[in-house]
Amino acid sequence: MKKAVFLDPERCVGCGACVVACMDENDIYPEKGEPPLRRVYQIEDRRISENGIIYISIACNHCEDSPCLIACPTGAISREPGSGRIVTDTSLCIGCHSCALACPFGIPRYNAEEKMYKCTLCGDRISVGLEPACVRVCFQEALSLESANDFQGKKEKALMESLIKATSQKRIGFRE
Amino acid sequence: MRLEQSKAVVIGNGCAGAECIIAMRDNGYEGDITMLTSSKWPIYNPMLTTYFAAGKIEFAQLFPYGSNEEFTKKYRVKIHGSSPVISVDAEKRWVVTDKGLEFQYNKCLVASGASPFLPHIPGIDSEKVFTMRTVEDALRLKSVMETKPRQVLVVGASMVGVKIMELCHQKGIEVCLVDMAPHLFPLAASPQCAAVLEERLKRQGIRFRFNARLGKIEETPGGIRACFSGSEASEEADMAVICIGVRPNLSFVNHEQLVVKKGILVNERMETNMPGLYAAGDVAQGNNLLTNQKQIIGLWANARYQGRTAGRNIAGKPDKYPGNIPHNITHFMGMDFISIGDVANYDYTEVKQHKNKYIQLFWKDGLLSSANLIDEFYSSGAVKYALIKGLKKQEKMKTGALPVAQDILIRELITEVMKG
Ligand SMILES: Cc1cc2nc3c(=O)[nH]c(=O)nc-3n(C[C@H](O)[C@H](O)[C@H](O)COP(=O)(O)OP(=O)(O)OC[C@H]3O[C@@H](n4cnc5c(N)ncnc54)[C@H](O)[C@@H]3O)c2cc1C
Repeated sequence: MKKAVFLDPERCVGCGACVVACMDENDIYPEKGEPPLRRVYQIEDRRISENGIIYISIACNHCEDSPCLIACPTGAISREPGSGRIVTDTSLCIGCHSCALACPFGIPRYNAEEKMYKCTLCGDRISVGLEPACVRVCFQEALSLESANDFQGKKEKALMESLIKATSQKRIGFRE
Repeated sequence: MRLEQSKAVVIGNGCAGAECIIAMRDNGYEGDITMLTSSKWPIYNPMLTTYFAAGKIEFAQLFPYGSNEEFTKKYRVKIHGSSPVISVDAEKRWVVTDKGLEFQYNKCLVASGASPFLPHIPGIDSEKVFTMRTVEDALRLKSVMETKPRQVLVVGASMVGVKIMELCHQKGIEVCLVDMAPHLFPLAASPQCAAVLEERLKRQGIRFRFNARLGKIEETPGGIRACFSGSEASEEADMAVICIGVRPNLSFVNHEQLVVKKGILVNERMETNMPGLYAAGDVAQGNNLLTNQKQIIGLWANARYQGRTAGRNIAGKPDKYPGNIPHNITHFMGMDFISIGDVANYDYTEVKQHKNKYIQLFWKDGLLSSANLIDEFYSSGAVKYALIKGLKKQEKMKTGALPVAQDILIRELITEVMKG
């Protein structure tokens, strides 16, 4: 069954342990200019939650119908049969950034050779029945490996509805 | 009684045609499928032609769906290459190719794509005039590059034009980019944004000539001379590449049967007005979500979605493709230019600039309606989705699961830039 990492924003406290675990697992060195595959955003806005702050930990969602895969001009991005992971064949990547414009989550990053890279859902770990590194370290249990369309999906949707209301219809206000 | 076997014909071997066939087989279509195409090559991607001509990819990489043999075997389809369709009778459900092959169909997809537009001016058929779309175009440009031209005139400050400019520039060729519009990317960029891009390109040695309408091309001993309407000053170069847009390939269509505006009009299921006949890709005029009008949105992803939607419907699995908005990312000369939506139609805009980043957002009736971004590709997808979701919201359309990060990323993008 196809699974992906889901976030329960009500549980996330923005500790960043998932980011560190991800960097460790994937040998990412930010000091060498390599951007991490998982990122945590802090949003302060009264309109989105009671205390006005929420944290969003995010990496590739391995979408069911992945827009990046469709937008990729070379076939470098594909869905791995079985696991359903979205994987990149860097030898085919031409660094055109089409996937960046296709991804709603701002996920794709590019290395020094202009090749796209992103979360692989810890392929080595899940193939032997382990959880992805980010899920394993999340002591709040905000991140979990779930099959799509579980309740988290619905929660995300409700959150987004309010976020959209709060921002997309307002002038964001560079001048504020 | 014997059940009549279903027969499908797909016209054109671009990605729209390919995705249609894949979707048909993925959704249990068991009948015969025939693909008819003018091209002698496997299914290719026009966007990769400049990468091949520039020597950045191998020839085989032009064909993301693999060889015809692989595709034929995997999807049980008969492909007739070098067989352009010359007529489609949508009443008799009858397709004819130039070689006199005739096919009766139950379902047919028109996915014949588009071809570069060439103005009817003297000298346009010169051997020193080039276009960029097909595999042949790519081979031709690549081989002329090997003759080491010194000066190239690129006509059309379009996405294709700048990719040609880049490939020449990287080979040390002097480039003059001309357009009858007053600035770079006349359809996709605001004048302010275009000015920023032009400045950067000038610093890299690109020469521009705007407000110049090509009137005539003359061959000279060394190359060509381009003359412009109402101007004394001509431009000389070794060759010219014309990139002033494309026109859909519709020569075989019967306009008395099919409703055609700029392209073939299609609904959300990619159906035309004629039963059993579908259209997808650069030949089809589907929905523009921003304007609620029908428009050809000539993009790789759009063609694939449309082809897939047609294929699912043909296979009997109802599917709708609501449409798209114009958007593009062009990675060239060490920068990224991104346009989303329609920058010509807004009532409020804000610009923020920091270092190499340029962000201009546009609002119409209180809703984000378009964006021009330079070098801010990380958040571009989030901006695009926020825009589309905002539109859907307004129309009270059913929204799918809303992506968690989009607004955060817009905010992130703005705070990043504001950090200064
Ligand atoms: C240089 C360049 C750069 C581009 N860059 C981008 C980009 O960055 N991003 C993006 O999204 N899009 C880009 N595009 C556009 C993108 O390539 C097209 O939108 C997409 O390929 C359209 O696919 P299609 O299947 O509709 O048509 P096509 O790929 O044009 O395929 C149509 C096929 O139909 C065949 N055909 C034509 N007439 C007939 C006939 N009478 N009978 C039978 N067969 C016929 C042709 O041989 C052709 O193979 C670019 C295009 C070019 C040329």
